[in-house]
Order: sequence, then structure tokens, then C-alpha cells
Amino acid sequence: MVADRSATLDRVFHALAHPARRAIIRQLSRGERNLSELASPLSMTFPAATKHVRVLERAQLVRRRVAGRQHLCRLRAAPLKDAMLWTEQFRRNWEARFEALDSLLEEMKSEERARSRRR
Amino acid sequence: MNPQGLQISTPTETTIVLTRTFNATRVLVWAAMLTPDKMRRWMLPPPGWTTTVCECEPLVGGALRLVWKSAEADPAMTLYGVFTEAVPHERIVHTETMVLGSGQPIGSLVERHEFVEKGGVTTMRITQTYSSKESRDGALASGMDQGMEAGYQQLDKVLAELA
Repeated sequence: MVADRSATLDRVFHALAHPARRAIIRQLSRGERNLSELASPLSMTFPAATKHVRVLERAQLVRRRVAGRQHLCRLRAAPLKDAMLWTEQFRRNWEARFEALDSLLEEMKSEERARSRRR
Repeated sequence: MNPQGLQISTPTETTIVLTRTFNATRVLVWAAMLTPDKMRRWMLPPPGWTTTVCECEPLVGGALRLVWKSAEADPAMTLYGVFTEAVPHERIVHTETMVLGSGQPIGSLVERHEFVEKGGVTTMRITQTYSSKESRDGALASGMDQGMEAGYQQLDKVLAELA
């Protein structure tokens, strides 16, 4: 089970690693699109778009259905949520550090201002 | 999107890239990040741990050493490394190894920090390079259990972060 889950996450991270595929996901977050609707705003050829959609399908991020001559793509959110959950604590730890750094920097800035007033 | 927001990405199989902006000059960010008494304030250990040693010498060949202790787990947890590149206020690279009290290393990586300042705002980019995909994934998954409790994020937020 753990291995299964990890393999699925690998496919999701791989799918998200390419800017064109992230752009496709953004478009699909606004609703179902056919392949040429996905390809044209990205100035991508039809075969290139098909290739990226296949990677997204393998990661189960996109589901494709055929309606007449059209291939309609739809976003599936669940694997994205899993991927985010996987990294959530890593993110929180760093965010906590950087927030502490924010307050430290504010303190250092007021010390600097106080010093320059004294001069 | 919030300009201060933390961005995390995994451009290759063995790397993690963190990008964050700070409302301060890079001279100040550099000092806050690399001066030992300042470092203690933000290089936070996991909850329940306290920092007992914090040494940082940001010069080529200089050492980095942090020791954390907790009431329950006696042998301390140590992070040590060596600076391999240092261009003041611009970039700094160091190795990093985490060691449990038993002396068992639990992973090492190379961390590169780059600072770019624009109009008094500094963008810091941290690139962590792990020895393998497995250790990279392990680092990303650290604290996964607490992450579970934290609950699912809104999909909208996820998509906004991908933008």
C-alpha cells in the first residue's frame, strides 16, 4: 500500500514538474477543455499537448473522454490534494522559520533606525 | 499572490527549491540568517526541543554546527556542515549532515542560498540537493503524521500556488 501510494505520488510530482503541464492544469481548473483548446493558448502543437495530457492522465490528474471527434479533458483534484498533504509539514516548518525571520528583520530594522537617529 | 509567500518546488528528482521574499535589504537578511545569535531566533528546532549550540562561520571552509536537545530524548540531535562557497550578501553554499544522538547520520545534503534585492525587498532562493531521490522524498515527507492532522488544503490554494 505504501509503495503504491509512493508510486502514485512520484507520478504526480513528475507531472507537476513541467511548466506546460502546470499551465494545462490551470486551464482545466476553469472547466473541461478539448485538446486543441489546451494546445493553442500555450502555442503548443497538437502532438505535444497530447503527450503532456498523457503524463497527466498517468498521474490521474486528468481524465479524458471522447465525445464525437473531440477529446475532452477534465481535472481530477484528489491526487493534487495528496501531493500537497505529503509536503504540508515540510512547508509548515519552513514557514514557521521564515515568519520568525520576518520578526527578527523588523527588530533589526528598528535597531538600525534608532542607531542612525542617535548619530 | 502574496509576494511574501513561500514557494516550494522540486525541479529535479534530488532537489527541493524554496523561494521566499523578505521586506529587508539583503545585507540585513544575510546578517539575520548567518550570525549565530540571530540564527538561534529563527532556525527553530521541532516543538519540544531547544537549541544548545549554534555556530556559524560563513566563510569558505567555515563550520556550521547546531545542536538541539529535548527533555525526553537524551542524546542530542546535531546538524553540522562546512561552507564551500561564500560571496557576502549574494550567495552561500554549505554541506549539511543531520546526526541523531546515537551517532547515526540520518541524511546529508548541499544547501545553496541566493539573495537578490530589488527596491529594499530581498528574494531568497534555497536549493537543497540530496544524495538520492529517496532521501529527497524523505525530507519532503518529514512530519507527515502531523501533516495529516493539519487536514486537507483547499484546492483553490493548491492551484494558486501552481500559478
